[in-house]
Amino acid sequence: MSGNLQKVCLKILKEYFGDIVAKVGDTLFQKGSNPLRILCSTTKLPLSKVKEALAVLIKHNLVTWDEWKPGIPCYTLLHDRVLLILRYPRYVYHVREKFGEQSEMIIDVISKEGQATASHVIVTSSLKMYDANTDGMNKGSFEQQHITARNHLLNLIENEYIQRCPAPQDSNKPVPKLTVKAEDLYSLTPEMLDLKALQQEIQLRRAGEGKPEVSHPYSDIFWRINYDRFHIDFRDSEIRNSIVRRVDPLAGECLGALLKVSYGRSDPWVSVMNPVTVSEIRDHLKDLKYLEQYLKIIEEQSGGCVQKVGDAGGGQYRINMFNAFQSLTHALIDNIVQDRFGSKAARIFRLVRQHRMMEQDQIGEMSMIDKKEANILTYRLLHDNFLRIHELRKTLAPSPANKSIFLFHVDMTSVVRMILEWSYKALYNLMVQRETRANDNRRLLEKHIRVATIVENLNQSGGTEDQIQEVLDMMTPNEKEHLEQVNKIQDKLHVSEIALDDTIFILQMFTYYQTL
Amino acid sequence: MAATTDLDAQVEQRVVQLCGEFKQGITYQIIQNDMPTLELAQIVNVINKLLATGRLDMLKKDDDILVFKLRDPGSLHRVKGAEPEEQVVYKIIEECGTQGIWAREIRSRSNLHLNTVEKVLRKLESKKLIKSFNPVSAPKKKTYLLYNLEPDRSLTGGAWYSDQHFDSEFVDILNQQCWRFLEQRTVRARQVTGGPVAVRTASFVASKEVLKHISELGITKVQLSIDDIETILETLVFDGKVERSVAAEGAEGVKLYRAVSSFLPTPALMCTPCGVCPLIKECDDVGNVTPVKCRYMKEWLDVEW
Amino acid sequence: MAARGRGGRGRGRGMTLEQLGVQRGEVLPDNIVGPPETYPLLEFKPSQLPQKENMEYILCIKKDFQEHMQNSQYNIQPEVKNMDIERYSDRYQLLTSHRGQLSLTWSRFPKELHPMMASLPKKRKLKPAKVVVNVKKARTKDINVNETLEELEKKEATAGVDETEEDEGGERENKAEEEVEEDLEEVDEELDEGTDYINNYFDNGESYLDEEDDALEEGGVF
Repeated sequence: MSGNLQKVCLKILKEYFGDIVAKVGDTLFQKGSNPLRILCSTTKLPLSKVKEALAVLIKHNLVTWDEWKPGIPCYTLLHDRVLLILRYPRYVYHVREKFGEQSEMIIDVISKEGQATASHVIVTSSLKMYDANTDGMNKGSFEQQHITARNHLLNLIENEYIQRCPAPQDSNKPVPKLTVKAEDLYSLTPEMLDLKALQQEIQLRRAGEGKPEVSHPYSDIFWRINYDRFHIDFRDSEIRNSIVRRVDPLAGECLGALLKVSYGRSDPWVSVMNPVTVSEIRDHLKDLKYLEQYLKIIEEQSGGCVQKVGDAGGGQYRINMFNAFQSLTHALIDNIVQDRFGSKAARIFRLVRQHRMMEQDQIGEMSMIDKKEANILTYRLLHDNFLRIHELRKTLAPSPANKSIFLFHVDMTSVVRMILEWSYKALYNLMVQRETRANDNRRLLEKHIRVATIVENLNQSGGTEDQIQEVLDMMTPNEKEHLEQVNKIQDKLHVSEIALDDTIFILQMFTYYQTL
Repeated sequence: MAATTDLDAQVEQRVVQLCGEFKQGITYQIIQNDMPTLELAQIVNVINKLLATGRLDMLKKDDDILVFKLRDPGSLHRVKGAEPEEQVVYKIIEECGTQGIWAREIRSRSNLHLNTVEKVLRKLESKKLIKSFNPVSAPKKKTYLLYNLEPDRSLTGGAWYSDQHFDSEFVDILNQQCWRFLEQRTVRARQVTGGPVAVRTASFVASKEVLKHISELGITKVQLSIDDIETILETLVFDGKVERSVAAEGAEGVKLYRAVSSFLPTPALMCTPCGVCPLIKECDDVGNVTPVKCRYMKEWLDVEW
Repeated sequence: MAARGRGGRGRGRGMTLEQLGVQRGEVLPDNIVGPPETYPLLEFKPSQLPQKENMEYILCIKKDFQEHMQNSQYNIQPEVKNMDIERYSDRYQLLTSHRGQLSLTWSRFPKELHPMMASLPKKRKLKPAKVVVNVKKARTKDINVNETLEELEKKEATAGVDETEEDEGGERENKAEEEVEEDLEEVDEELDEGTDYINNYFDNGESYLDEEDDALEEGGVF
């Protein structure tokens, strides 16, 4: 089952960056860090193309380099980042929910460039806003769009969703070293932007000029997405949602407040955060009745995510991320067993997981399942590696009868690893299906694009209704129906891939906290 | 002769008294020790009279010593007119209460021939004085006990076994019914005002109450105990549907249960064919099992087409 | 993990079905499906994904992102070799071959990745040297001098032209370098698949090449 991550990464690179970049990336994955020369000879691609591919990968934060020999760099693929490409739509949406459409456009622009200058981001996202809102926006408000964009960008940077990219100290060196000062990481100061120039460029581009010659200051400072910051929010969402399911929405609010206060005094990525008091939490919530009650309940119901540690200040509570993701992962895997083998098997699985080591007979008795059925289910769980067996010798006597007992147990770490691999495989399979079906229907899809392009051109150049209809009729009703079906299937596959990332995220969090 | 009769009556009384003291039975030796002045012949007479009138039972212990026990006046009615062997066998079975006893053991205790024992057992069964069952632990050993008694739970496997077979269906039905009861209680509890703790408390149900509800449902004639119900409720805990808590009430805690939801909804992996696929380990880019050839994918995607 | 096959005996630590108390020949759920098919009936179908209101929008973002990246300059395309036949489909190719040069701030990348080669002369020297290397693999003695000579002349000619452009410091420096590189590759390919007699010819004429080398440096073409 190993190699699933590699296949997924290859597929992702291919889908977004093409075969050449994919081949280079895949070689780096398989062969490890390598210099340019070896990449060329291994991939058998032209030198110029390998260079371009590397540049693209670097710009999208997927490859880094080190000085391997004097003047010669050695490139390394960050394969976890490749997987994150599938998460970009979630980042974009998250920011839309939290800060609005302008911020959404900013994150969208940066994702597509990998790294971008502040001016590029402001200009491009403003234009996107204009395109998205032509009916709602009058000329007046658009004049100031660059200010709005600048403000949103500042906000995102201050909240650490966007960070400054490390820059080369001395660009004359053949192998530049990239660094960034900690105080600069989230610092975009006013002098770094020329508002007039921004406004000018936006106007010129709106007027239709492709490449206006407008210069901006600090055009050598680039910005990129701070993935971990988004992951904090996603992580918090997971635990909040689970509490809402277990208790109710208000409990989710309380937990949210508890988290917020905790971040004021703890590193967001530690296993166990510092305690906060009820009074501090209360300050954060407008007016929540029964706060103490909710906290008490959350403590009892959260599977160890929230722990009470004292009574000072009305009660002290702390977040325990390790426990949180342990509980969530247990629930996840229990659910997986249930959906794959049935509820009786899930009962057995939970039993063994909680009792650590169990004998076969015990399993039958405690689960209240017919012994024969219990044995069969146990065997199936064993066969699929959800359960493991540990042999204990009872006697040293050589007689074969009853000389050892078999104890069943759950090895969480290896089960998690197995399910991650399984998820990668599922992801790969879904992507292959999607690609295959797109290829099978290429003619139809291309025809549709042609028709759509022509219609759009007609619309822009003022074509008549009749003309447009004539073009639309180029697609027969049969074709239209077939096309709709093809698209429906493509969407279903896309949605499954997006959803699968959720499972992967929880398992990644579990692994992170286990290995801290 | 009057003196002899008086003396006999006194001896009788004394023997009966002694029997009362020594519930496990008395021997000639004990009687002699108690009344050393008596002649053995006299004792024998008295004993025989008591046996004949059915006030005493005679048993032979392993070392061939005769033992005499008081007969339970109740059972006297039931076996009136029965042969001595029947009385003996009946007594033995009676002593074993709800544990019961199997034929071979009866033979050794009564020192009767196995054939005799078997014959007597048939007779007693036909008179509906005794009945038989097979314990779960030793399904071949036919065990006898008094007709009006129920065999001990430990032997029959309790409520869960009928004819030595584990009754899965019965267990599942109970499981469902308990769950439903707890779930309804949780729904009702949400109407409670006074904050979330009140709601939570209101959604807990004591095992006693669950037992009462289930018994009233009348889905089974089997008498369930608190332990039985708690066993079922524990399986619901392992189903991830119920949580257990303990409330202090008097000397020991009372077990409380309530319905809960899972932390997570159905995992996304299980919403793809790959999650439920039995061939996932064989799946590769070459061979018969590939994502392109996958039949499950086809069915999953083309289901509306 | 070796493939285990459905319903087969597990090989884990000597645990067999018998040991688990299942009698021989007893029907297991797996085997109910008669003769073995590649894809046995599913015991449980895939579940329905819980409906999320935001899923539709996220789906849009994903599709838009994918489409954008595929059409962006970051989707590196191979060089289209056969531009001689204009294909019908070319008319409807969206943007693919019109991306041109990758536009990046090259100072942020290792020098070796820059499209403009700092050490051009060195590179130039390499070109004939490469020819020599291939040449040394020659075997047969069949010769077709004129043809191959003319070809080589042509190659050198274009290289020479580029060089003069270089000297003029034209804007098309980068593009030219690309072409040179392409030519270089093409020359290599030709020689690699090439006939032995070409190689063999130059086996005898190494000094010929050296002279040429000098000739290049002087700026003239032989």
